[in-house]
Amino acid sequence: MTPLRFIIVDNDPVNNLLCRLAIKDAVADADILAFSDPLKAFQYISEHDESNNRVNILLLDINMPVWSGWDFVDHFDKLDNKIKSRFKIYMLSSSIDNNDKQRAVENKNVVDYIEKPLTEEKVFSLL
Amino acid sequence: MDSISKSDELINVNKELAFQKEEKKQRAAELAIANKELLFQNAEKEKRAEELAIANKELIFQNEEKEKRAEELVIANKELIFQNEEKEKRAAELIIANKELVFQNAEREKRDAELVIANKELVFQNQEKEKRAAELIIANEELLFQNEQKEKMTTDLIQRNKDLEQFTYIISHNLRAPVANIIGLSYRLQQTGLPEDLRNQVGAGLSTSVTKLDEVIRDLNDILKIRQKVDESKQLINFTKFASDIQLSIEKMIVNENAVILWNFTEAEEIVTIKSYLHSIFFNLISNSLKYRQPNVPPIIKITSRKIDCKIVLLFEDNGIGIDLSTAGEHVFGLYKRFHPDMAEGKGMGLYMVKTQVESMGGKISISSEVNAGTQFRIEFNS
Repeated sequence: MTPLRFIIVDNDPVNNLLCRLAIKDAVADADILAFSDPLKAFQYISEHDESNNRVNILLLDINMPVWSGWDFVDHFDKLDNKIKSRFKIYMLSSSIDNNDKQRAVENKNVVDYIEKPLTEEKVFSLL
Repeated sequence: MDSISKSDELINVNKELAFQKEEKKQRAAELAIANKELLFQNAEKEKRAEELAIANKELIFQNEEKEKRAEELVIANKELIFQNEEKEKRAAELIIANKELVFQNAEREKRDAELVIANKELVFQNQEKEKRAAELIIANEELLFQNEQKEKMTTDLIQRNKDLEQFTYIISHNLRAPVANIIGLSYRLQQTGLPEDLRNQVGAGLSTSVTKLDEVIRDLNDILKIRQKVDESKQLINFTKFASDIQLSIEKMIVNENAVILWNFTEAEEIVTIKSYLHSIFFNLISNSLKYRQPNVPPIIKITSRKIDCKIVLLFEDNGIGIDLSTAGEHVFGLYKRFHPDMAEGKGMGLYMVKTQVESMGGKISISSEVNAGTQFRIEFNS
């Protein structure tokens, strides 16, 4: 069985370290990919061409300097459905503002909202 | 004696008798005349009686005529009485009609008087209405003024609302982010059997996060200070001297970048403003131009003052790498926004501070830019 793939998009390296640790705790053999630049992450997934039908869990930060998480999701929406269906986007943010949670839940391309820091338990809840 | 006396007596008596006879003859003659007279008188009386009879007849006739006439007069009299009565009736009617006319006249006079009063009342009401209209015009002007004030207040409130939204955003994201990291990292530190290299990474992350937290708190303090500081007294500033001072203070940076700063403040030489804000605006815009210069082109920064509609406008132009506004858009002035994070150090505070300072003085800032050609900032001051 192909290992689960997690893609982290966040400009904050400390968060990415914590995410790696939490994911490894939950899924030892997880395949983890981290992007500190959302544009590079977007380029990666838009060129995504995998023969298998593996679903990628994408943990997306909201507050980033060039593209925000929302900008990323807006661009993602324009991608081909075939690509889109392979990515489950979760907003992973430090925000404690209910408006952000609400906005994430209401976006059709976002599965759910996760409040930082990511923990083992939170990773389990995604599976 | 006696015999002589008797003859004398007898002669005397004869003589007497002879006289008496004469007397009687005279008497008889007189009687005859008287008789004839009487006969004549009789005849006259008969004539007179005849005449009287005729006259009597005439009188009778006349009497009859008079009676006829009297009867006619009675009739005429009755007619006159009737006519008189009619006239009296008519007179009575006329009196009534007259009274009616007098009454109507009085009514009309009353009515006229009432109309005069009513007219005065209308004139008064008209004046009142004119007064009221004048008052309404004033009230209207007042409302227009209040409306303008409210619009100003609304604009101000919208701005404050945006500020609050931004503040909420900063709290939720920029302040909460290092806190979330610290929570995650401290959890890791409590884990036993953490490999040494990982422990070191966690320690470094903790240090970074705490530093970041401190930085955000300091930034917040700076931002909030701008809002409070608006009452710092404004002063007259000479642009040329001001720019020279700033150039001198960052001379090393300018020399290092091989940059040129040109200015022309002939159109507006001076401004009354808050000096510390103006310093921050000049400093941030100049250092941005130096940071985001084109790699192989010496930076040229032009600063110009203009006077447009009695307002002072400052233009900052450079020949730097520019910015793609179709993607950056309104985020250019956003807090912690960065568009060339690889090019230079920075935390996305500069333009946010500049915008905040310009707006807190009631001014406006706008940007136009062309990628690989340069950027222009236009600042319009509110006086």
